[in-house]
Amino acid sequence: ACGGNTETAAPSGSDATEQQSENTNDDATKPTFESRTIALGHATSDSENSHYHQGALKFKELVEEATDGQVTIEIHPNGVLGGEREMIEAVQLGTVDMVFTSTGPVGNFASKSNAFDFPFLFRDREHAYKVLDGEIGEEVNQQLESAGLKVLVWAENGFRNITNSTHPIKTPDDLKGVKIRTMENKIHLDSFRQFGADPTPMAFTELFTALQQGVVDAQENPLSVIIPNKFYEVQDYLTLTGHFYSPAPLIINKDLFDSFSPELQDVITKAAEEMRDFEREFIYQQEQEYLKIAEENGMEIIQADEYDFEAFFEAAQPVYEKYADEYGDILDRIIATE
Amino acid sequence: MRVVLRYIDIFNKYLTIIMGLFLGIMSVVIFFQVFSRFFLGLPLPWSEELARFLMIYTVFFGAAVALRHQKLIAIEVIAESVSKNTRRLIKTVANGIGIVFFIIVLIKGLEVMERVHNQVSAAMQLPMSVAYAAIPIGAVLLIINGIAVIIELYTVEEGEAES
Amino acid sequence: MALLLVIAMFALFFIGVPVAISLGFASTIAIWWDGTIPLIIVAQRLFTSVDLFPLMAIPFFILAGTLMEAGGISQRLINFANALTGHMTGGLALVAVVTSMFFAAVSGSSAATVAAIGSILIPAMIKRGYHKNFSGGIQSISGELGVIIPPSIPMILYGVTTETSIRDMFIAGIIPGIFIGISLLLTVYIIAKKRGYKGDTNITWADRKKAFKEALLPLIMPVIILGGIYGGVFTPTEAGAVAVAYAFIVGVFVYKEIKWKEVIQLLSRSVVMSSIIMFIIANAGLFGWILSREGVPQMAASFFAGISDSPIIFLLIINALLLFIGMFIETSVSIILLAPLLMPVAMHMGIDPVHFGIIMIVNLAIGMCTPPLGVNLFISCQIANISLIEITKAIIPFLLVMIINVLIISYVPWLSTWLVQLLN
Ligand code: NA
Ligand code: NA
Repeated sequence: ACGGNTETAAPSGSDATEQQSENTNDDATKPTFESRTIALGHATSDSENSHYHQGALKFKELVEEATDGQVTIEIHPNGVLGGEREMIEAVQLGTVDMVFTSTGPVGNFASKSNAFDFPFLFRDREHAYKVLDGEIGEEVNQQLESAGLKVLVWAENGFRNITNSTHPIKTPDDLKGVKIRTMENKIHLDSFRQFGADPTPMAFTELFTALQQGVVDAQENPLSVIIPNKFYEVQDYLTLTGHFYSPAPLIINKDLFDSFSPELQDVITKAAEEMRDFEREFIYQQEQEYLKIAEENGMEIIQADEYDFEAFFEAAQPVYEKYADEYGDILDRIIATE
Repeated sequence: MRVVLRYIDIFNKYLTIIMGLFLGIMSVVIFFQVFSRFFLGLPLPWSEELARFLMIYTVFFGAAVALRHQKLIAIEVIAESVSKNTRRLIKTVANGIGIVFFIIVLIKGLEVMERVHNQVSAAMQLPMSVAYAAIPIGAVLLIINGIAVIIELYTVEEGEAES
Repeated sequence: MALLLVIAMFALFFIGVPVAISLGFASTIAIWWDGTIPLIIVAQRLFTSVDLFPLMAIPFFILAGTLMEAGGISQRLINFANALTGHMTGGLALVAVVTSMFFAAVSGSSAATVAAIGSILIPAMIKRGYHKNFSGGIQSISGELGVIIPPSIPMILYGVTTETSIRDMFIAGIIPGIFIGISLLLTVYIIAKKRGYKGDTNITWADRKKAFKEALLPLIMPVIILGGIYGGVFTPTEAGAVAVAYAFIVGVFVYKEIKWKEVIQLLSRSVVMSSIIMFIIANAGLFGWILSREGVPQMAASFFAGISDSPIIFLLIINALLLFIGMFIETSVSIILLAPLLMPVAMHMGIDPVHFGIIMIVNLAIGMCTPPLGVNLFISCQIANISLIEITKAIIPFLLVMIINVLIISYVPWLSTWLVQLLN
């Protein structure tokens, strides 16, 4: 199923620089593409309500259309090629070409991306988009590139929310002594310690049973993870805290990208950007649907204006102080972004 | 040649003790993780990762020791129905193939180590090359023990070998 | 490439290259031949395939078993079991099945079930005069119940990859699990009768009372493990470390049958035993990665799905496919690869997704007991000190019983769905 050996593809046909001229005769100026396959992995299900898969399909459709089917995107969903850390590493090593992932493990490859992980950092979606699509996003991309990872775009997972099994979470006091599963991320761990909870890092694969049996009481994830993974079966309360924003970078092996012809690079970049906009819109549209499913399955939903944002925000500030030396500058710039 | 074998076996003895200690540490650390979370209300962020990395080391070290004693599971269809000399030849080929594989694993393992050196582990923030070192080190041990098996095939009579 | 992979694997198996190395080297050859994926994947995948916390249940439960044996817990449990069913034909083998059912309600993995119970009962059965092959075989097959009776890691994977309710999957597994357990008990009884595995008829009520008193601490152990998991104190993986701690404390401080200087030797023995299994898992992870990168599972699924539109024939084909795949691929990997592909086809044919999930789980559980790649067989072989061929011979009658079970479960949906409907 793999394509032929892929050396640097020289653009064949007409001169690339002239292709933009307004010529009605398409065939003469349209760039041709060397036939190749690009393997793209992600770790979520390939269902209709998986934003990763819908985004990946969109990207595939756009690339294949723009290259007349010469370049095929091979999607490997469900983590069949490995977990997210493993797939990012695989892209770095060149054993997988592209990965569509959450930022969970990205900070371990390039520390700057941890700056996006701070609690209550982004005011809203637009703020996040401004930062990620702008100068600061580019700065993080630079550091990842030196690790061999080229971020094409920052799509999204959405804001993360807290679910709990025993009582509604409205104030940091409600989190006191609550065992909450978090990702293995030092800023996330510190944030929940500041909120008063007992944060417990745990593999995602063990989370469902751990919630069911009460090893942990609570967890936090975007709705796009909470609902498709059916956490409503084992969790009764959902607070729309939106405490962390979770972007989702689409990453390609840098050497591979550099080996592409300028035309193909252009196609890939444009398709990625279009996919990003599509995927952000998809999540936005899905959100009401997700909340409906949560409600239908008996979850009590604490809306964004029903929990004590001020108290949580206040409790989060020591985390900013702790990492001021390392991230202070970039955080200030993110906050200052209008 | 038998001297070489003896040194390898002495080395393996110490290696096995080290692996035993690793398993001991894994048990204590994970038990303590439960204890600390449940009784002290202090979940440990590093325990699971430490235990996991130790486990990875034991997998490849243990495989090397098991290889030496020919305890790796195999489907021996032909080896049982042929003459002693043919059996020895087949076993030499089979072990030779193993050694070729381990050499590839060694080279590629070193390559991964170099490439992931700047990546840090999620909990302990250790360079990932520390964890990945289990692969090339394990490969070296597997190569040494694969050679030991071949030496044994030609220096020790069948049945005489100590288990 | 996929064809080369499979041919190379069989060729290597045939000349007696260990299973783990055959899987790894066949994958290496296939990657090298194909030329599009860098060979560095070999090293990366060997690492990541065992870089999984849930796998730690394997070394822990093997160690717990070793400690239970050396510390006298095993002996006391056997005495107790013997006092209960020892007088019956095939008594101890019956105990292996019943204890596995009980343990399955604690453990989400079959490998852990076989390791934990087998390391006590297999040596005990051999000591009591059961054939080695039979002892290893019955323990391997009973261990399958580990993933059929909830909790179950493969059921969670099925639920997540097909968006089916995990709770419903768990409930649906109960009746098929008990059903299979009973069928195995009957099979054991018949074989034991034929072979003359007699019970011990000299057991008196005084013996029974004494055995029960002595087995108090060992009998509390499953209560602690079970209570700890369901009470939310620890995860099923962590339960392994708790079992180790319990067996250690009882063996060293209470019964005083383990001397301090023996401890390192017991640790070393356990760690080598578990690494033999884990080394196969590492290489099988590489092998499975290549297969999925090549889209082999998808091709197989669409091929099988396109053959007929009768649900009866479809299920028959699916059963054959899953049994075949189960021979070569590890259960969790198969679920992850196949469930999302096959479930929609099944639904289209009017088959209930939960029912279909149970069919998949039971089929792939059988795969744990089929050579060449059968984790349960490997563990039992290690404990009983027998070869893969020897255990395969002994397990054939049990496999036939399991295939009958799987057909019954396939064509009698209410075995899986009745309890779910009752409780919802
Ligand atoms: Na179970
Ligand atoms: Na099998």
